[in-house]
Amino acid sequence: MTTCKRIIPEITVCGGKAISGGREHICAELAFELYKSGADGILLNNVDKTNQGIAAMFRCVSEVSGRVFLPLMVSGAIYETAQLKIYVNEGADRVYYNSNGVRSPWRIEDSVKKLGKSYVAVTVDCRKMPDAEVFQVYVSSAQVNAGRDAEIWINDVASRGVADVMVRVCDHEGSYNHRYAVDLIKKLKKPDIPVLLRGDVIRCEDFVSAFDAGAQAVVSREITPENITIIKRELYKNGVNVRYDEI
Amino acid sequence: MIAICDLGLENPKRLQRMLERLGYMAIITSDHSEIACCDAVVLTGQDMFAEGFNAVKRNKLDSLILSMNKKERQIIGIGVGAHLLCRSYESDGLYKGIGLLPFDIVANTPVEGFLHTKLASRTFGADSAYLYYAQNGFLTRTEGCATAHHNGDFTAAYINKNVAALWFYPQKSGEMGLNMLKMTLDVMEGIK
Repeated sequence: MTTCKRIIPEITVCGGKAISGGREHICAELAFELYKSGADGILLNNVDKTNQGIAAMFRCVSEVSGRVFLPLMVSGAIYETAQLKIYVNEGADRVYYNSNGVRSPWRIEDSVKKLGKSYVAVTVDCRKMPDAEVFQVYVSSAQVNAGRDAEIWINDVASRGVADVMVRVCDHEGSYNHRYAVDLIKKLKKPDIPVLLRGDVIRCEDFVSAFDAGAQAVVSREITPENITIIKRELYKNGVNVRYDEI
Repeated sequence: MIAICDLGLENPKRLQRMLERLGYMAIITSDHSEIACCDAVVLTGQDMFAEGFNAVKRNKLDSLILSMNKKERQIIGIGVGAHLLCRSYESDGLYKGIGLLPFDIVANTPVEGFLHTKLASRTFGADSAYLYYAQNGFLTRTEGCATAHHNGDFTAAYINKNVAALWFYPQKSGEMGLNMLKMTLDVMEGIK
């Protein structure tokens, strides 16, 4: 039997507070609710890039890791190995480079060498160009074209020894597009590492199409403590190998 | 008191918090005198096998663990820690383990994620559970009290008197991982 397909909620963190449904929440409490509801991991995405925001994120990771006994992933404003090490010391299981990995790929290798591959991963924001079958990598909160082909970049980071790659695909205007995301995952020439789809996914059929395309996990901001049980039950009924009977 | 050996392989804080939630007192240490005072010792780690084996040799933890075994203290290995309790581990070279368990592990297909695991209900009080694995070497003999399947059957947990080897990570396996760790500590022999 292969490993279970995972449903991972994404929590947006700003100044150490979780932002969900237009309201602020205590991060550890929201993460704990998701944990008790059957999440297969938690992604904490820091959108506050100030020094204070990053310091608050360290505390947030520490609080969540003390209550949530699941793989804990961290992304957003990751600059260097020293910062990665602090997150790992606070309890993160995996830390995702994004823009700074694209600008300075040697940082990815440095982190893998110093911390081990299981802690280092990369998230790739890309857009599909109009009238072309090409996906371009975007950086700086997915606003600036980095001038790299997404497929080549994903295969490149895979060769640098990271644990996995998380991809988010938008249309040329910057809105998440699930069909494009599935197309890109299908197009990838079998990188030797797991590929995770990150998007605003909520419908059961979208989860199924992502898993059918080869995604190991779907990371979504739309997953809440209220809907995760329903989603996993539906997936289970559709024959998807998910961690279900425990919840 | 439970000592979690700091091998420098991962942050053992979450395991410490898990043990505290189960009602145990746990310290993270690599100090011999502190470890020797504890009723149980846990070796845990992920990914960096060679560094784990080197850390054990460098800190002379192997002789300490063997002496604790003679005093019937509980000894638990998790992930790479489980490999360390075995006789040897082979991956890009042969590493000699502490040798408390008569097994030789050979690296094979890496696995990461949740696997459906069959449990000995007499030991764990349940028939099966989804447990989290992240390594590339397993005991391919299925003689333990829990077995899983990934390119062949393998042992997920093995308990022999006061020594337990867990090839899954309870600290990442949700509430079931918490229960499994508690049951393991309960059924193990040795000083409590």
